[in-house]
Amino acid sequence: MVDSTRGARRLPLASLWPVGLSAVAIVVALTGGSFWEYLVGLVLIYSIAAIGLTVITGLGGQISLAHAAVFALGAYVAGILGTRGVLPFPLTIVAGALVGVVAAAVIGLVVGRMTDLAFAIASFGVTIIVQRIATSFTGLTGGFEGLNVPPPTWGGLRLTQASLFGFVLVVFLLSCVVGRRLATGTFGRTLRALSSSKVAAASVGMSGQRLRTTSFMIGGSYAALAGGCYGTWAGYLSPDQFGVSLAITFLSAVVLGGMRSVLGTVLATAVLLGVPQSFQGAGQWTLIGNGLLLVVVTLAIGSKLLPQPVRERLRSRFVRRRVPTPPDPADTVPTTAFRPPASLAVARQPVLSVRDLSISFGGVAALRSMSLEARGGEVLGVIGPNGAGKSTLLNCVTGVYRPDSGSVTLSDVDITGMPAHRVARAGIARTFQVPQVFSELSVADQLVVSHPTTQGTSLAARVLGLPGARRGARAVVDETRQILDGLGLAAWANQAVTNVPHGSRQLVQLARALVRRPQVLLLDEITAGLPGDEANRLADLFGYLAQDLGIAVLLISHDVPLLMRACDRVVVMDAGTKIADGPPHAIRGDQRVLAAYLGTRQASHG
Amino acid sequence: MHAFVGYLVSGLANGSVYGLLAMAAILVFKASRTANFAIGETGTFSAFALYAAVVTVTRLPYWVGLLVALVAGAAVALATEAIITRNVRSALLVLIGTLGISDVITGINTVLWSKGEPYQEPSFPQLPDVSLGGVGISGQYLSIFAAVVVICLLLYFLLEHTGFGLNVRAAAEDRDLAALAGVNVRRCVMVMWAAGGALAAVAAVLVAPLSALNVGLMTPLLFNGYAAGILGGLDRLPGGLVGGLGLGVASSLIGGYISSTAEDAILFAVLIVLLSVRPNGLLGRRVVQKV
Repeated sequence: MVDSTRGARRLPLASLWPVGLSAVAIVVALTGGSFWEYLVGLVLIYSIAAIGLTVITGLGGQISLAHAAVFALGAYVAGILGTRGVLPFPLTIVAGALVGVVAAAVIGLVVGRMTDLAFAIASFGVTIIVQRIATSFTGLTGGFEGLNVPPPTWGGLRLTQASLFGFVLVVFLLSCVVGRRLATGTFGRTLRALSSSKVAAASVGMSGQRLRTTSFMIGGSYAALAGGCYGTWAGYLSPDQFGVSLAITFLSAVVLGGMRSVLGTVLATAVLLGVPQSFQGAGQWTLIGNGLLLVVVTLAIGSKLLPQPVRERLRSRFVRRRVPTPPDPADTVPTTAFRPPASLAVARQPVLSVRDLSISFGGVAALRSMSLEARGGEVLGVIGPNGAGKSTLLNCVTGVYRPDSGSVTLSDVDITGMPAHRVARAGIARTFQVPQVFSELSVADQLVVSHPTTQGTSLAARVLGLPGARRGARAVVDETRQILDGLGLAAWANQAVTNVPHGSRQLVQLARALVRRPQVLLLDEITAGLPGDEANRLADLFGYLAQDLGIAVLLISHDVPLLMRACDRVVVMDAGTKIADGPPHAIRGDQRVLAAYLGTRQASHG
Repeated sequence: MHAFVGYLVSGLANGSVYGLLAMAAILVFKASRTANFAIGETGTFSAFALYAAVVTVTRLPYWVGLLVALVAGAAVALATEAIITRNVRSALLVLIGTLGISDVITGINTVLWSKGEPYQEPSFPQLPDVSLGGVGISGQYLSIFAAVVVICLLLYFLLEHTGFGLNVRAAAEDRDLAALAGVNVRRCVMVMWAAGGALAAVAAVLVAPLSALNVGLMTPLLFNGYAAGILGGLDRLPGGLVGGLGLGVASSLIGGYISSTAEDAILFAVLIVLLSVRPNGLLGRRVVQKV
């Protein structure tokens, strides 16, 4: 029972909460008089924007304070178009949303290149700047005086507040449904994967830049749509409505709502807007209250006392999870589940060629003219003392580092200096010496988000649940199950990967690499932390992967018995370059190798 | 020419204040790899503390009031550090937490001071006005420059020429390694946060007499300070000053010669272009990630 089908199998009742909330909103608005009607409308509108921020911050892990700016942009574009009568009513809001999406794309493309922290600061600037622009361009925005947005008309008739409320409610409902699909579907899990390990995400072909920009555009469309509704609902726009405090309100709603729950975000928005309104006498104290709330929630989520988000803790209290016993090593048998990669390499043809690769860090040469060839159908061992440059070699091949000189070719395609995600898409999969897993996801989901079919299905098809996307998802789930079975990880499938012991995380990485159906598989100290008998079983698996599937397997290891057993050929590295290359038995007696390991000077004298 | 010198000097003066805030941001960044978004409000709080000490509550001499402001800034920053960073691991959550603290401080300032604002902050001891090639330069600006020069020299001496500074730099470079070498990392982090708070206090105390002292004094400057920090490079202290001065002069010249309406928009566009060319800032170093 793997995750992707969870949504379909769950009771449909659980997904009906947007309808329930809407019913509550209608009742409160109808019975509470015009003040409550206005307030509920405001909560719905702010909720729409906050759901958008849930995608950016809760799922994508990017703290954006630019959300208020995009909200303002949607509000002003819709408001100005409406005031000047350029477009009729719902189209003004659509136009505002479009401008918001474009602005969000620009923010994502330009500012999204920064580190997370620098981005948070820059996004803060975006909000300040948009507010200042709204203040200074008085001709368009009315500046401090503000802009009166006339009530919209529909076919010559003025829309009543009640029908506007209906419009806002419909937008809210759609936002919730789409937002929930985004959050619980594979896209949300992909964003969470990216936010938990960028390096691992790139190693399975995810383009961080593209995903981030997509999440900004989705979040931005929510914010701008909400902004357009806001102008129409409030009837008045002025720059002081769109300052940093609005950005903080959105962020607070996401944090208070448990970071990645759409329902939580909506409820938190209601609390954040409703509570201060209910204590109007409190006046000056509300800011202190809001601030304290944010601090307390941050501490609750981030502190060591409550290590996981509140929501998950609550859930674990109600849903008892079966913690599996660690897998029996005997389960780890080579599986016949893997289908050969699309282009089965002709056996023993060079697939990966590394020529004269050099890189240095601050004057220290980590690789010096390193060359090697990995052939399809062959297990190639790479061995060498600590600091010989083995992991650096892997990082240069996979695009984590950009080599200073030399070339890397994969089946005659030059991949030198390509970004890591494109190297992965070209057909190279890898594991990391210190396991890089997507700490926020279950074991099965590590594979689901890494699968080429998942990544190749368009987001729209996934959100709409088109038949093709569903078929693809089922196939991915089946294959995930087969691979996890084959590696003896089936018992862990629905467990958080953080529960998996260190040694088995290496296997999780291997499973994640295999789901990519690579031409070349690069394994960095994969047997570290595994018991010896399990390591031996892996040696058989490598032979199967190479001989039966034609994969070029490159195995970095310190485990000499394993290399002797598993490898067809061994390359020895020392001080950043290759010092020997040949069949395992020949390497064993090589004088230069002994010198490198034992530090004798025989080699240079002889 | 006269106008140009005028713009340049006022730009440098504003830029000095941005630079102080940027250095405060950089100290916190070096200490904890995160941002303290409360430093702006911390500064405002300190400026009010000085006002209270010198004008309303007691009538202490200015220099004592300045000391009160510095202590207030450092204490608020230390409290922020103790409440948030000690309990929260994730750098991004720390950032959100400091936004909450910022709200709380704004709230406290509002409750305490919003009744009679704006106030006239007592002025930093003023140097005499100077005439440079026929252009008069206000002594107020000169004293800002003097203060910034003194602070930079002080920071430079403390960090580069004392044993304690060596410890702090080691802790900023690699916490674990420094701890293994016997450095009290905890104390270094606290000192850097406190220094950040004190710098914010100085910035507020310098800028408050130029405008009116009110609850929103530092809110707009916080962004300029951080922008200066990013521009210069968040990992190097001199970068903050360079970024601040550059930002101050650029915005003053753009405002003077091109358009004061579009000043912010143009400046922001320039910033974005600069940062897309040098994502780590003008003086920043490229960081090699370790896998």
